[in-house]
Amino acid sequence: MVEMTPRERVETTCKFKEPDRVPIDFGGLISTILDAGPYGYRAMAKHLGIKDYDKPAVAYILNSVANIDERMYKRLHVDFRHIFAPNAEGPITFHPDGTLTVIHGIRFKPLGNYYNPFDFPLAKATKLKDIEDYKGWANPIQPYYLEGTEKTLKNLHEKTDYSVYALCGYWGMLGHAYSFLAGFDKWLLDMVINPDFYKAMMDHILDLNLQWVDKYYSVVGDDCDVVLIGDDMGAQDGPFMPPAMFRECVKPWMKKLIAGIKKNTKAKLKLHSCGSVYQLIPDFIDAGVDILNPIQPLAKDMSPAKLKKDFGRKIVLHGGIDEQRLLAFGTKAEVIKGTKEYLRILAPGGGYIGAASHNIEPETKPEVAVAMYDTIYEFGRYPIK
Amino acid sequence: MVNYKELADAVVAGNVKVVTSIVDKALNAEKKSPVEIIEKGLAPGMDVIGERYAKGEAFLVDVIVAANAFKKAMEIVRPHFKATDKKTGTAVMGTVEGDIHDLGKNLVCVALEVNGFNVVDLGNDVKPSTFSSAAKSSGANIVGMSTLITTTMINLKNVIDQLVEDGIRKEVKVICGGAPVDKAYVKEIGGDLYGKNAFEGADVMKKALGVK
Repeated sequence: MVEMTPRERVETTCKFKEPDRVPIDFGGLISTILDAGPYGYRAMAKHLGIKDYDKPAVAYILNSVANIDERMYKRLHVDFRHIFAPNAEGPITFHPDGTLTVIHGIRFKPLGNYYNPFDFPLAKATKLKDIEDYKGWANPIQPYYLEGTEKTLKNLHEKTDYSVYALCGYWGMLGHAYSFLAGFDKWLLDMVINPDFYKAMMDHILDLNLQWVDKYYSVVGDDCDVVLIGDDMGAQDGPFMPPAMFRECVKPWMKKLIAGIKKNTKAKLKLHSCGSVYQLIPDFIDAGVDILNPIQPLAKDMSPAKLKKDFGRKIVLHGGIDEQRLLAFGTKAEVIKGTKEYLRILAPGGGYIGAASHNIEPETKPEVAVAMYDTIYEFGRYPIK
Repeated sequence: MVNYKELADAVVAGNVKVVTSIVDKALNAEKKSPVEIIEKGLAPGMDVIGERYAKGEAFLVDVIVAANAFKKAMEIVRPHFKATDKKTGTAVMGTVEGDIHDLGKNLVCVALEVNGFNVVDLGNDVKPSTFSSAAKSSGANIVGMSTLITTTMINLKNVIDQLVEDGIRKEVKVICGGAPVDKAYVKEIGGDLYGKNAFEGADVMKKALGVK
């Protein structure tokens, strides 16, 4: 088969057809690499012989490296390039005790390899007035949030043939914004015990997000191929809520956010939603999701074979190569063997983008992670053998 | 007369108003013992949710909503406990150092209280030495710990090593849980017990102490 460009490869698989090989994703916010030890980004750079790279800039929400070196992208055969919206987490205030205040007054503290939300500013909010009186809400339409990105995206889209992501950051999150502001338990509790307040919070967050996505994608919409939004909806052993409750308490807002994005771009809409979300996938599709990440194969009902059989022609599967055991603890040989097995199940017929089932955690040795990308690159050539 | 069935149903539904009203009446007007209120009303309600969750008929949101009602009830019940009230055992619980994810651990604490345990909840990001000294000072039978992320799984072992170093490993049963953890891993790091979810965890701990 004739070698496709990365963008053609991604477009083909998104049409549920087989391209020349499985497209590979790495970088951006998710299914990427962290700046943390013992391995992580810096060890990967060293392993690949990449020197003099720019100091890693991270997206604090996941400690993901926002400025992956181009040599690393190339060496790992990555078909995408990810562009973060400028200051989509900010403005950020760094406090002397190491904690941060980010967008909407959300508080983070460093712990282990991640920054974690704490000290939830709306933990005690119960009334509409509490939302109105809260001073932390960020202004979504300041020029600050657009600075420079238009040119970067335009150049990337016009002068390269990579598939280009324009990431929304917090402006693509609803439930996460709620739970980072009020606490995870409260997000779920409010749905049941204080539904009027819940709806007012979701309306308010959606309204701000829609203002931002409208402004942002009306400028950059033609220059991006994929847009990422994210809201985790699953634990290891099941979705957080039954599908009927998802339809009532989450989907209406998610659907409006996606419609707001798609109004200004033909880009494919990728949703990141962790854990066991099998039961929610039909509603994700109905809400306008084109690509689903991260496909955690060890979570309940998330076996790649089941997903491929039931949804493989309806939604593009992204990720799926197990990070919880295989990449975290497997040997190089085990990772090569395991990756081939996942590819045999997920790749046939297209509709699949190869990536890790979540971020490459920093205990994964670089040679092991590289083996996964090399295996997708070599073994992921169609027809899959 | 206290309608314990109504109390259990209200816990299942997460109806804080009904739960606290029945508990208040039972304690103050009917002079019922805290143990009876838990055993006949609050615990059966949480048991229903636990069974439904195990079968995949209830979801995390149902557990959180019921646990919220249970916790509000326990705030009223707890001051009425007498020192002589029999306890299933004492469990020292925490999320390991480097990890802040404590939702699962909090639910295990609720499930343990339902099952009559005295719970010492150390919170999250807990150092091995804190686990060990709390186990010593409380005379714990159980040390329970969890982690959600693979990177901090090794810290489960560090706690066990600390218990060995401090000479109290044989005094306690060690249970581990959390999304990336499984039975084989617990065995590998020298732990005793594993619980797939909060309710199974509490059940496993009860059985390990020989309580039916």
